[in-house]
Amino acid sequence: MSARFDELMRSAEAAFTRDDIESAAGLYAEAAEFARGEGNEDGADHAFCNQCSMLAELDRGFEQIPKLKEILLRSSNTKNRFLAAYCTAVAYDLQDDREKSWSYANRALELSDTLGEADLISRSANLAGTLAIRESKFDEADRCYQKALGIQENLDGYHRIVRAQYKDNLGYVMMCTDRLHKGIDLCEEARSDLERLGADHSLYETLQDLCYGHLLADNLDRARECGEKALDLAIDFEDDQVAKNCLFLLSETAVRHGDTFRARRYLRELTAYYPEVGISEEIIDVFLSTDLTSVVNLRG
Amino acid sequence: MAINLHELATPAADVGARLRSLRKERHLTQTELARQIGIQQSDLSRMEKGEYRVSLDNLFKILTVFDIALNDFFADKQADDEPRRALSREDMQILHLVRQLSESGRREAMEFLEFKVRREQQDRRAIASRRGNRETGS
Repeated sequence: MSARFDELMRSAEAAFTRDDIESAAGLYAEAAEFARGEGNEDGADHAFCNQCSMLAELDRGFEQIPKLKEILLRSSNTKNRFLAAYCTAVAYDLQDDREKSWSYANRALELSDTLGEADLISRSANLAGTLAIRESKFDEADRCYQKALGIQENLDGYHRIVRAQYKDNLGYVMMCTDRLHKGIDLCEEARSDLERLGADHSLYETLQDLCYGHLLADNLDRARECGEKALDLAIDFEDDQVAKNCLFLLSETAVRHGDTFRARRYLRELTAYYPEVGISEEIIDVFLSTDLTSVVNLRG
Repeated sequence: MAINLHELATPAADVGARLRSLRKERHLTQTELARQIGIQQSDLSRMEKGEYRVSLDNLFKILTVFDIALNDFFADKQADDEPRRALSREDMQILHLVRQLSESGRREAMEFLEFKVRREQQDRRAIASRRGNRETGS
């Protein structure tokens, strides 16, 4: 491989590390083009898959699916086939085609097992777990997250954050499957890891899950504390899904506290996210009169 | 002060069963309703069995699709000859609070509630009378 190709790949990785995803995608595209010009097919495929992975971070990349599938079928390089399967799964997930996403995530998981690289196995296991939990397949998600978490070792800063996310994911599954206190403990561990690492961009989802866990455990003050923090961070990071979940959980916390006035305030904020419904007192009454915690999937 | 959660819990299976009966009342197939909500038919089937949890977005879609006396969706159905609605959780909270009072405290609370009810009835009558006067031009 040429020095120019290596330099482009390194620059792209550096851009990704400093969170400049757009530049990273451009540099990987440049590297792929350069490798193709040199007849370096493996290098071109590798750089292209990394480019797709960056585009997925930017909620783009589904137009690349045919090319990714071509790599999966054509390449004799198992690592590139893994990357192609993984990126295809993510791209289908962005299109909300859950069946295809699930199928390619499992293909990636198989290929990562063949490669035997810890990082790839845990990444693909985590992806499969995330897709499973969205479908309320909690046993499947549990198996995948256990695998993702069990395999990580010798971690640098970035991977420590990823590992904390795996702990949070597994913790939430445990909360949903009658292992409430184990789940809370695992999420609390994830929380302290993420706080220590200053990873606020991941912390709020963990706090949301802790709000849910403490709510179920009837630790209402803890639930409120976690929910309020999660809500503030989710608004800062413009994550509407988590913000909505937090408003729902906080309203439930307030109801159980006997404070329906506060519950209504949260629920009015929640319904404001649904302009097609409007601020409907009728819907607010449904939430006030019914415990929906076992009906709602926070990762749905 | 926490409320007894067992009093309030609505298991997912109950909600699923109510969703199923409401769908049947509307003569909707699982496929039709799933399409309206934007989920897979198999997911709706699992939801009706209490195995599938929905996102808040889909829950709002369900509530919107049915456009119902929404409380009927979740609350226990009342017999036709019993028009009173089921106790809501807010009602139960009031009961829970009242039960913690001493006997004299309860009496005071009752007197206050009776006063409030009488006052609201008077207000409603006064408003109705004002409307009647406007309509007859007096």
